[in-house]
Amino acid sequence: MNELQFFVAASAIFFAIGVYGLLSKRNAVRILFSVEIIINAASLNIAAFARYMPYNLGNAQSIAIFVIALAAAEAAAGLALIIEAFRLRGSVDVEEMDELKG
Amino acid sequence: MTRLDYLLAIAILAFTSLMALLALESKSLVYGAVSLSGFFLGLSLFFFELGLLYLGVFQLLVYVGAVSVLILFAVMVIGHTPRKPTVGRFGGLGFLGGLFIALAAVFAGLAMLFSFLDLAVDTILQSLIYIGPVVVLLAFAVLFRGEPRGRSSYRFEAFGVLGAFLIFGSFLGALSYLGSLSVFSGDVTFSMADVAQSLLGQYGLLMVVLGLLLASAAFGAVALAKKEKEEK
Repeated sequence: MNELQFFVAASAIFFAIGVYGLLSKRNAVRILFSVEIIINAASLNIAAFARYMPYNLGNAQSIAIFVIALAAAEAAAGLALIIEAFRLRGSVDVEEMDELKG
Repeated sequence: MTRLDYLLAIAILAFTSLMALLALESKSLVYGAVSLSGFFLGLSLFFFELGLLYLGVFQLLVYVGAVSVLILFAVMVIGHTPRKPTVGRFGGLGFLGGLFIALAAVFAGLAMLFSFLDLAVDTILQSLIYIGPVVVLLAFAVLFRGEPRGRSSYRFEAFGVLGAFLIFGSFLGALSYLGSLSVFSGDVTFSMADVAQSLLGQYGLLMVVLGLLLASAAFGAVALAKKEKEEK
């Protein structure tokens, strides 16, 4: 087992935990947590490949920084949406948000 | 990496995965949010362990600083919703499940340590060894959860565990392929100038687009959150 495998395995574990939360939780905030965990797993993956297969370390870190910034934007918009949904219905249970159901 | 580095990395991995599980499984959302910031912290430790200092500091600033506080504030606004028990709630035997998860993280770390000491045979087998306990004990945690058995919570949990299994399984092939590569494991040297050059040079346009996106996300968030107040 080489070092790259260790970090990729770690990011795979985080990704799997995130998928578990995404599929099993009904609270919208927890689902947002899961998405954050998944995005962080992805940025760890990028960082690991950048470190152990250095082509251009500056570029790789820039891409990871873009991922972090995108995730921050997603968190801000997602939380605002969740707060709005909570105001409208007094609950953040995604099973109850079925107005768009055909 | 020396053996001590490996031990440190395994400790960070155990801490980070425990925090990730706690973020999803803890009783109250506030504890969950705090655990999530612990997860972000663990990830920044990973970046430091990789030697990518700039990324680690950025992660600390953006995630552990800004995003955690944002999430905490949002959780506080939403508050406790006691009408219906959420799926991720410890109680009675469910706490035992949480304990199992904590133990699983430790076992996973130990199994990984053994695999680094070259006791295991095959990469896929190794991966199964250290993810196996986590997934099995996660299933235990689900079974022993002190939840009312109504509605479809168990079905959801089962889907979750199955999904996590499948996703990790799909990673195993890639992991075993990576084992055959020769990786660059010497010290990396980089300067801030490299990062700055690529951020403002090659990815300059992307940077501008990202700035616009962040600004629009901020405006959108404010607009969404403000709407109700104006209507009153």
